[in-house]
Amino acid sequence: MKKLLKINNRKIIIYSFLVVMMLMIQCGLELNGVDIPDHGVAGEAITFVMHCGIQPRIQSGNYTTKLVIGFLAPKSWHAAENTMVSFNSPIGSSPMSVIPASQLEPNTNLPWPQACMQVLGAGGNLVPSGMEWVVFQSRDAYTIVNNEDFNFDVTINSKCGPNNMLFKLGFYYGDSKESLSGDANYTKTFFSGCFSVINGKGNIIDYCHPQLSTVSPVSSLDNDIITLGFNNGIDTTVLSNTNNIYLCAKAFTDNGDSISVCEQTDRTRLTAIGGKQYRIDLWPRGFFNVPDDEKITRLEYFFTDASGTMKVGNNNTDQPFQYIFSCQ
Amino acid sequence: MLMSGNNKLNKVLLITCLLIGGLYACKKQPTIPFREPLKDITGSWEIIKLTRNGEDLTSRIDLSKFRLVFNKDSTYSFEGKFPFIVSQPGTYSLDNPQFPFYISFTTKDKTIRDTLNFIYPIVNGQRQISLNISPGCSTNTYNYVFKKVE
Repeated sequence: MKKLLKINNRKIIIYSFLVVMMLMIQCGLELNGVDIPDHGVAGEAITFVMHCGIQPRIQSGNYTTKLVIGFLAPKSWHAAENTMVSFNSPIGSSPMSVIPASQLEPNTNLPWPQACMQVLGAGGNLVPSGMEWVVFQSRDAYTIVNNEDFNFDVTINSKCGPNNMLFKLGFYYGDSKESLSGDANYTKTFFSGCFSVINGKGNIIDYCHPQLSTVSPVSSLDNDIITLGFNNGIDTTVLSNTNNIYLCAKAFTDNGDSISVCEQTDRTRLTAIGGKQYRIDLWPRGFFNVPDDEKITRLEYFFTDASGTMKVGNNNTDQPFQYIFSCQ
Repeated sequence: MLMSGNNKLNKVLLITCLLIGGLYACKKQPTIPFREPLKDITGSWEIIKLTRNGEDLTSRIDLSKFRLVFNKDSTYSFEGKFPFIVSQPGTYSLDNPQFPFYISFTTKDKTIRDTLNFIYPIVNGQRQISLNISPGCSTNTYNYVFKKVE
């Protein structure tokens, strides 16, 4: 009899725990959409509005937490310096602050931008290294009252970067108590389709569609180590039937000189990395042997076969790919 | 009975010996003060690991021709060329020769002075120098791990 009671007690405890867990699971955040303009204009302000909601089903005590908002934007936007975030809710309205680097995300023990990149990803952008999360938190903590559901808006005012671009924006809505725990009820994200920035400088930097050639890091100077990538699988090119691919490049310096390296040797040969993709890593100052008193401002380049006669350029034409050295 | 008396005597002797031994063991030994040695980084150092924004480039780029040389007279120089925070030779200094946290490089013409965090771990019994530098855009961080050339 005693044993039976013991088993029943244990069952009651387990069932109660499961019921509490189920009720707690119902408690959560909602991201009901984000208003995104059709496009941005380079160097001009732009506003996004996140429509958020909360349905608190708290079983024990109060739930006091800070609102956390993340915004995925190109690095060239310098969003941490150029973005204002505020929220307007029934329990308070206030501007929000960028989470300082010293305040680590508690689940990953990383600074919040890196934690978001690790947990939430880069939203399908093909050059993740060109994007960054900027994460904001409310200045005060707020106590959420059980069963008092409400909706509210978060307004993100940012400034588009200087370049013509095509990329996917990202938005994260969470709270400081759960942070990036991985619980889907407390981690809400929204990633846009391809968003364009127009009237900027240079060729369109496209993170949405696979490119014949990419340069990594996206922002770099001639004293960085850069990686030129060639994707020989996205289009039929004159190099489609060869694995021996070489770089033919010309560097333009700040005093008007140009230095050409167009040879088919080991130092210009691209390495195959699988899937018809190739890359070459180089230190531009060393590769072009630039004099100490000059700086490379831009590159023009092609990819060639072993003879140097077959060339692939920008958009699969005979025009060169271009890269401008800049930290923007 | 006699045996029992001997046993008692033996026990007393044993305890006495242990007490004397114990007292002797408690005697204060002269202490030798420990001094952290000065960190001597003079010599020629080669890069054995290189990452860019966390991406490992070690096997992708030729690091074999570059050496960073620290001389006894507090000057540094380079063998070969590679991106670094300074490109010209000059002088170097550690903020604290016993417990260094920073290393500074000043070019000979004193136009460029840069200070880096200095990490000096022992790995597999050998000292390494680990430096985080941004020779190009400040958004790009490179970690160079050096090992002394034998």
